[in-house]
Amino acid sequence: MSLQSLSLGSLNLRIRKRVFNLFFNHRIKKNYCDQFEHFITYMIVLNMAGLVLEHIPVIYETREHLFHIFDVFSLVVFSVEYALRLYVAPEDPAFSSAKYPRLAYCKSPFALIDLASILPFYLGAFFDADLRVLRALRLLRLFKLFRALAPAVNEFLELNKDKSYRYKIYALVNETPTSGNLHHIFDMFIVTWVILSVLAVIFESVHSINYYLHSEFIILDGIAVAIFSTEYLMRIYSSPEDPKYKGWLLGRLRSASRPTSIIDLLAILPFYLEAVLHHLFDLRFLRVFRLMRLLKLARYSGATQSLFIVIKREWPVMKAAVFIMLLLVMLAACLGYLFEHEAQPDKFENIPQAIYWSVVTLASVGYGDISPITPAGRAITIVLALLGIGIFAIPAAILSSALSDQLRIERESMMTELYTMLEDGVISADEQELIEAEAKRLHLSQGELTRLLEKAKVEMGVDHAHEKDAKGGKPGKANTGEMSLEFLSKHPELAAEQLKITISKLQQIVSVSDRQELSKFVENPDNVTALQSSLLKLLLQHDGDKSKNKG
Amino acid sequence: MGKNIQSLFRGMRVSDFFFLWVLFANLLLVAYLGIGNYQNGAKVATSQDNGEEIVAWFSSLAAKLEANEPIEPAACKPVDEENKFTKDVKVNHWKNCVEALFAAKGPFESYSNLLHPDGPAYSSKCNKKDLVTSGSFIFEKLTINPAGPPGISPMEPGEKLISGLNIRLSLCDTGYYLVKIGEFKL
Repeated sequence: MSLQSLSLGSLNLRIRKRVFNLFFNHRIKKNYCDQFEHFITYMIVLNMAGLVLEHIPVIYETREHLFHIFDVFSLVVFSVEYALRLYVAPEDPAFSSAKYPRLAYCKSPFALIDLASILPFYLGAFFDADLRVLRALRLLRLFKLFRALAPAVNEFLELNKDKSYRYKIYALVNETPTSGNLHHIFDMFIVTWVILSVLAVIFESVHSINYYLHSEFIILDGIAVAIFSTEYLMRIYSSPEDPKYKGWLLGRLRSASRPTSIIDLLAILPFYLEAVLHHLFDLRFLRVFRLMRLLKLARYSGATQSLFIVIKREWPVMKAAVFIMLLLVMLAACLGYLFEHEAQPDKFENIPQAIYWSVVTLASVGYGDISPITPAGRAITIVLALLGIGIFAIPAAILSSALSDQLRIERESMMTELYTMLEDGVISADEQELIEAEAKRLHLSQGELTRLLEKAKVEMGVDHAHEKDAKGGKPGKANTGEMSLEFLSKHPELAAEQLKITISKLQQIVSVSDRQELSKFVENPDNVTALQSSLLKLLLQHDGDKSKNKG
Repeated sequence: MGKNIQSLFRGMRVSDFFFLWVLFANLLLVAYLGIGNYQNGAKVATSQDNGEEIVAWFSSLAAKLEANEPIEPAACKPVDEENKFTKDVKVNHWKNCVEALFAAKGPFESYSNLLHPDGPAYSSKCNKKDLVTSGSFIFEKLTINPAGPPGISPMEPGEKLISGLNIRLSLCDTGYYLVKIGEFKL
């Protein structure tokens, strides 16, 4: 009986540890922790969107059952999340040291928020509650986002604690070594609003949608402008922190004249201009300019930046191709006008109309609204159509080959970085993160990245060096810089050396630490095992003797 | 967290405070303009609802005619196509009808131009050069074209009210765009 309960208990412990490691342990890299958090975040955002949509009768009234199903589903998801967090609380380092880890978890602010977001609905099943109150309580789910936000804010403030206020703003809106995760959340927030506002502009043009959701689109646009204008002001204000834009006025002006800043400005300007000047000018066209917000996404795409670099680099060649194209268009238009004007004065009325015809023909579009009827005109069209295929293909070919060149260059520079990192034969965790970020920017798959890493290791002779070291009796190092236990088990003399080094390190730690605090820590049997206690006491005693001798 | 938040504002310079003021002022401006836009949007929505009432009223005309029920105002009673040239039959004109509809004691007496209270409740065209047309109802005559989309022209004041006449009702919105509300047949 006791054996059975023991095995059940150990099974429970194993499951609990496994669940914690799988979904909640941030220290383990290859688990589902990030995915689980993202899923919960998306559910919260969807819940908020659902809450907003429920207040639009035209959407809610016909789909009430769908909203109800989604609500129940969300409730189940959040309940499961709460139950899982409660279950694994003894494994969580934040609560494991408490006497009652689960109680400690229940009392934590995040757990209270989690509970507040689900409890009213269970209570509502047993008590008569106003449904409107229950619906309003769903807003509490928004606070669940703090679970992701709070650590990022803390990390950001910690990283920037000695920096000026302006630098903090700069680090928030730009990628810097001290930006941390909060910058990514900020980027994500802006991208989400760009997509939302562009979708709103598109749907606003659909009469059947705009007819019913006109006011909602106005609210959405107002919020989007508030967010984008704040972002714009933050970028301009903090730009002197960038060494390229030093100077409180000139620097900011130079920063404001960057293409990305102009795009940012164009994304918000229509709102102000239309509101202020609509009585004086016809500014209806500005509404379409709100679609420029889509260009804001260019800032977040490495591929777009590569394309801009390519166009800039290949501009002289492109210019030549465009010049030849223009020459051909003009020549064909003049000849077309010459041969066709008399036969079709209504269609080839003047040279600008003939230019339209020649561009449509050269680009192989061929609308057919203007076509030659004279033999000479048709002969020109044949030549033009054949030339057009080649001429219009030149810029496309230049761009595509230059783009692949650019990608090759970027990969080569990444390889150079890899070589630099591998100079010490080891890739640290920070370096690994940098490599992964760069691989993501270059759209490299995990397989490709591994292949490049292997190639770099082979070329740097890192793997061979390890083998040689092992053969020559020198200690082999794994990627982490630690000697493998397997290696040490085969080389006792090295194991002894390693132990000596470790003991020296321990002595160093003891000598620089507060001895009284250490002794207090060692005295507590909850903190250390008996062996650890004896060892530490020995080290403390040795350190004490050394100090006395010195004295 | 609290200590960290305090550290965020520690050592702030005058320029930082100025920046925060600009940020705050901008948010106030956006809120002010946004509320104005929203109020106008709400007025457009109310006008749309009123427009739907007008379309429903005109749509019920045919049923009333069939049931030989009296039509109030009488100025809106259409005549049959075959009787329009008959001398003893009085043909109503659009001007009289629409004036009677929006006049005092008319069915749409309370429907005014919500965007420009001084502007007309209805007009023939949504005209950017005539600012007060924004918010007014626009009645347009639809001429059925079997080969394509119907021809659209403004309802002239002298337009005769003939049974079967297709009319489209729109609203001239804040940007002087036509917001289509509905169509009806006399």
